Amino acid sequence: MVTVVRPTTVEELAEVVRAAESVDIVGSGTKAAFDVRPYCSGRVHLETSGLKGVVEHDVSDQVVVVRAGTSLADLQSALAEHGQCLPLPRREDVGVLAAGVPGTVGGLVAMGLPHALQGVLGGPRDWTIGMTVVRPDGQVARLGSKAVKNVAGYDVTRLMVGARGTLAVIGVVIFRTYPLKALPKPVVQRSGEPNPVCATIHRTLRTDFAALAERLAGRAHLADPASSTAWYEGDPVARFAEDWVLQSGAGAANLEVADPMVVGLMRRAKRIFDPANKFNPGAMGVV
Amino acid sequence: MPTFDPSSERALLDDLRAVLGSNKVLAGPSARKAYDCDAYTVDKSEPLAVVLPESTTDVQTIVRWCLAHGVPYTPRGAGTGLSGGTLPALGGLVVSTKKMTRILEVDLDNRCLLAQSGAVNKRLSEAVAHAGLHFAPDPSSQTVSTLGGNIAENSGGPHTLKYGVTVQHVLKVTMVDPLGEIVTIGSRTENLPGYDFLSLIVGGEGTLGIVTEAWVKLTPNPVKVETVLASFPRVRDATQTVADIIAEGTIPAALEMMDRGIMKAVSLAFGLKYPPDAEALLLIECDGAPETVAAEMDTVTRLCRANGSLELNVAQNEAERLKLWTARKKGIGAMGRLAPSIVTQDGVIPRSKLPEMLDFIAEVARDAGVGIANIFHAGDGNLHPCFYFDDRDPDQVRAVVAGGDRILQKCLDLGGSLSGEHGIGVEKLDLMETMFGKEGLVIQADAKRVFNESPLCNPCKVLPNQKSCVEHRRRWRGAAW
Repeated sequence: MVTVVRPTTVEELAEVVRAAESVDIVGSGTKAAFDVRPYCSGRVHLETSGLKGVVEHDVSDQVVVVRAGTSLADLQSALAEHGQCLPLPRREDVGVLAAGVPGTVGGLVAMGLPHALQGVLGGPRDWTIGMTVVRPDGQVARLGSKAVKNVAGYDVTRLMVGARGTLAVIGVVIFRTYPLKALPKPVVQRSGEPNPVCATIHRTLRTDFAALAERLAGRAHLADPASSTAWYEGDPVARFAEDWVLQSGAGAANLEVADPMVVGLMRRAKRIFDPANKFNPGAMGVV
Repeated sequence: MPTFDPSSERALLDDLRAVLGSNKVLAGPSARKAYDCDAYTVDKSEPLAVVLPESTTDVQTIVRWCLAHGVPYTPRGAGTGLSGGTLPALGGLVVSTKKMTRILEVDLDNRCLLAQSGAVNKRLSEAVAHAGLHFAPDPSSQTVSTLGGNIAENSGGPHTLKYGVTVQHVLKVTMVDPLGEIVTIGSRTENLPGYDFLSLIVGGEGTLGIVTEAWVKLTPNPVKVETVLASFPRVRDATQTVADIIAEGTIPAALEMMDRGIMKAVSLAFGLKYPPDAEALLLIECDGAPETVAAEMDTVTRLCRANGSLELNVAQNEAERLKLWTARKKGIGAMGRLAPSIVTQDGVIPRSKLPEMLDFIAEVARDAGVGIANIFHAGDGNLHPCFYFDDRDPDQVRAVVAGGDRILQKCLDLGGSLSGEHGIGVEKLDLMETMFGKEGLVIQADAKRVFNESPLCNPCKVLPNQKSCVEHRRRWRGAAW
């Protein structure tokens, strides 16, 4: 029996989390194909769509505080009114995949997928300067600050980016924004449109990137030389040293962490942050 | 776990020398004294000994020895830290990376290099200068500070406004964790999937393990660099210019500010001349493709003039550029001309609050009855108010500490941070709860626990109220009070 809940404030979110036995966190579902889990296994289906809106936009500081359920499109248009943005490429220019598979703000941060401007302007990990998160016991914790430069304490904010909602639920995110007029056009080589539900994201060392492009001949793909990343249809081609891949539509193979020492640390982190395995059980694969 | 018994010092040291080799152990009174603090001199605590490992396995030997004997240990690079991060808070060993200075591998094609953690920041750039590359983080201490220290503190510098702080330039680290295991984290390709542990280690202030080697990113040197030094009749005119430049959407490579106190010091030290009625200087550097630089410089100079700049001095060549940078790079050192002691604070505020904040700092200086000069990274709101005073007068020392706390509290009130690049160390422990709240500290303690549950690995730093640290704190302070 699955219960659907849709909190509208961080306090409600905390209440839901405290009471639940296990929670699947659902934004707008755009990245579902990247999920490692064959089916969602939580008891409570936590939809973030009620948790939306810009809390605060300090225009002259280029800092925005936004609730996690806000759609990226809504955030971008709110920022654009003041000549600002998060420096993501537009899907019209590079397609859905290389635009980072846009959905909600929370999804952007929790999944931390790469995009076609990352080599030039960094990714969500670089733009996220603070957060409010809810922990398994319902505690609400503040991470980071509104300062664009900050080394106070352990940088748990960056740890949350790409953790797929398995360590805490993201309620509010603080971003540094980017001037819209300085946003460059992504320079990508494009050969067809890979289908986002059965695709591979593959990043290599610069020295291997030409060989990767050769191996992709004949496949629908996009290649971004600035970050040595290719987005292509189907399973990964032969791998290179020090590379990594993310897949969609491949179940457990969607996310691969091979180094046993790192796997050990990830399991340890999960046990410490979420001892009862309440958040997005199974979503990180190895933990 | 065995506990450290100071009465068995001699036997312990003999054992340590036997395990590590006596050439790697310094335990005389002068060594202990020399390593009792870093550049934050308010708190002091002597170590039992200083060890000088040469390799990752040496560090592992040391950590395992410490675990076996219950001896605390604290890693140390060049000791330029400004928050007491290398203070051997509970005594024990200082693990110095002084002999771990090798660059192990340079991969120009992939724009990265592997170095030992004791390698000096500046040397990394020098090693690849012939290929038109450099290591971007450029803390003012870069001629002496080490890669390991930069990693521990997540160091910044003037050019990190555009290029990012250390965490954005570290790809992969090898470290000895608090259990004595050698761990490698990260990848030479960025943003490896999985939990981002690298971002905890960088900026972890050496409390999560001892980093022994790191692969770092190398950045292409800019094709074109233009630098201008602008002077203003009022501090507010300069801070307003900074706010306007940022609001305009221009991101200079560096955007630094200095006030009258700094001008006075560098005039005395280096004979540099500034307009007599100047109260503030802005040093602005734009770099990149020539047409971008030209456009940015147009914007920057236009905004300086609009805010009433007195003089705009654009460097015509590299020698002039370096001269313009003198006040910024050597300003703090030159302050020795103003008073015997200097304490540099480090706080961050949202940039638009700079005018209000600088007024507040002036008020704090008046109330405390000591001098304050400002020299800082204005572009990212990272303040460095420098108190100048006489530390032989305990009343002045107290006034400086209290004044620093007032400034940091104000940073927090304005939505900012306790530290932009110097770290928490032992200096700012008391303000952590104010910044993050109880829950914020609990989650940080959890992050620490992933790596470190040992009371031996660099104790008493970053998080307040650690076991057995509170009573010791009185003792460190006693050294200065």
